[in-house]
Amino acid sequence: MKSKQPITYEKVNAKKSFRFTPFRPKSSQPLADVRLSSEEDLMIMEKSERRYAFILRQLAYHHLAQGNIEGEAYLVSF
Amino acid sequence: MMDEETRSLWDPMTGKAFKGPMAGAAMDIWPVFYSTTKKETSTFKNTQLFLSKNRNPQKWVFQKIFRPLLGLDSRGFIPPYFFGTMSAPIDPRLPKLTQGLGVIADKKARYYPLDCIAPGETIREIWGGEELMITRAEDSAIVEAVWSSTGEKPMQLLSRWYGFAFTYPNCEVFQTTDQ
Repeated sequence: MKSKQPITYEKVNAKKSFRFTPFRPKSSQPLADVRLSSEEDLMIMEKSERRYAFILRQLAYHHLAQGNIEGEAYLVSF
Repeated sequence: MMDEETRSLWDPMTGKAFKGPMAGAAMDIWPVFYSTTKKETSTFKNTQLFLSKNRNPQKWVFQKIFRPLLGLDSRGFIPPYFFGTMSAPIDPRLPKLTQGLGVIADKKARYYPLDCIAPGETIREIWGGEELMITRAEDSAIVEAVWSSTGEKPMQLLSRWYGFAFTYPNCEVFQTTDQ
């Protein structure tokens, strides 16, 4: 039986592709204008007194969202 | 997580790189909050939504058919291979998929399992001489920690146990008096 080898940095680094597909939003839209269930879970972040929302089940798929707000790069992990 | 440019490994909870060319570097971190469409739109009129257009047929079939059939929405599901990618054993104090809120303040980390807080309940605790309120929403699994005196929110993460305990291995675990 083959013994289970631990995951090492070198092993991960040797892989060419990543397992998850990050979400890279290019634009946003008013939350109030989008048809969503009223009970839809959201993750909210605040930047310069503005609020930005992500749909939690979409983040559960992507695990990472990254982009730019007002010239500043951000990364959201879930 | 690994970045594409330098292939350094970063802890997604602390924003610190711990392996590779960027080891030792740290990103600024911001707390995020949880809400529902109803709650958010009733309080804030100008929230912007980032909507993923990703269409993956496998994901659709899994979410619409298999998740409800297997009851995964209530007990959670992580693909089995995922745990093999973790570089340390999972803390056995709680079941690994336990959902809860981790609070980090005053160089202390504490985990509040969701099951320990009833819907609508508020737990009050003293942290470094200040009262911290941990409240679970009446109608959802959203839990939030707020300092009583200022209304500000400490660093907090709605997270499964395996992830929080991995990042904060010496964290305390909140228990109700009957536990």
